[in-house]
Amino acid sequence: MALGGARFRYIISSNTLGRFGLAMGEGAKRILLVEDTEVNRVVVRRLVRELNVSLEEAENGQAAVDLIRGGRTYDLILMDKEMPVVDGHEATRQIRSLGVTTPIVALSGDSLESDRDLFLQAGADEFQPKPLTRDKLINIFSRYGLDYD
Amino acid sequence: MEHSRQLGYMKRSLFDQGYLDEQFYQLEELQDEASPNFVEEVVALFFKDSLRLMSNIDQALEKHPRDFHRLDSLMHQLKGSVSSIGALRMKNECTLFKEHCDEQNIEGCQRSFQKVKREHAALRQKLETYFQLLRQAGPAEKATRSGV
Repeated sequence: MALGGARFRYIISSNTLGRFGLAMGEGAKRILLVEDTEVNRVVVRRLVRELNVSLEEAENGQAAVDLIRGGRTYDLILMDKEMPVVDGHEATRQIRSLGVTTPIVALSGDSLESDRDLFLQAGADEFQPKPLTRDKLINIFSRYGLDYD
Repeated sequence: MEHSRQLGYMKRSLFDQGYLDEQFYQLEELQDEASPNFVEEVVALFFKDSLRLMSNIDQALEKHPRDFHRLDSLMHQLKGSVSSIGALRMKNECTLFKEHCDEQNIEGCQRSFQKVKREHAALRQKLETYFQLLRQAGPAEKATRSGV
């Protein structure tokens, strides 16, 4: 998809195929992963495989905002910090300015107070250092009331 | 049996010498019958992606005037995927590079980046050997924490 000269890619992972009629638990929670690094997306995809969630992916903040502006809704957003086009702070601000109250968990490889503060000021609900592990993900899901089994 | 011993020794030394950290074990725990080569696939993806990022950093280091914000951003991306595979020595060098960016110390950045590249090459060589041994050992030899 091209938009004003820029290219955005939306990825619907196999976990989300349930939304299109394949086997997936009824009422599976919808997670949006906003992450530009493919390695990290692959790992999260694998992490959620056994969990009853539907995962969509956006490669940058602009793609995430576009999905939401286009009417997509989610139960949880995992938002990376450093991304091209639009970074995590700005994407969080834009999503909140649309009136979206979906929990946003900010992710960053740095655990700087300044990063944490900027994300929380932008409207994120919490800040998690990367890399994500299965236990961390399960704890996040539990905190936001996502049934994952 | 010999392959098992070599694998165990090699894996132990990768951790003892600080090339890998706990995150590598986390990846191994995601490997199963449905994803029997998950770790090797993720590592291969990492090396492909990291070469691209390192090339971008090389180009950014040559640009005038220096854009330390861009350099920091590129290195942040690299550090992110480095952390995801548990490449500890690389991660530490990436952190030093970012510190030099904060200080706007271009010589420091250049020195650090050479170290990042050396660690990248060393890790690649070691992991290629490790996965080759793993393949030779056959499907019965699973890459697990207990293999250490």
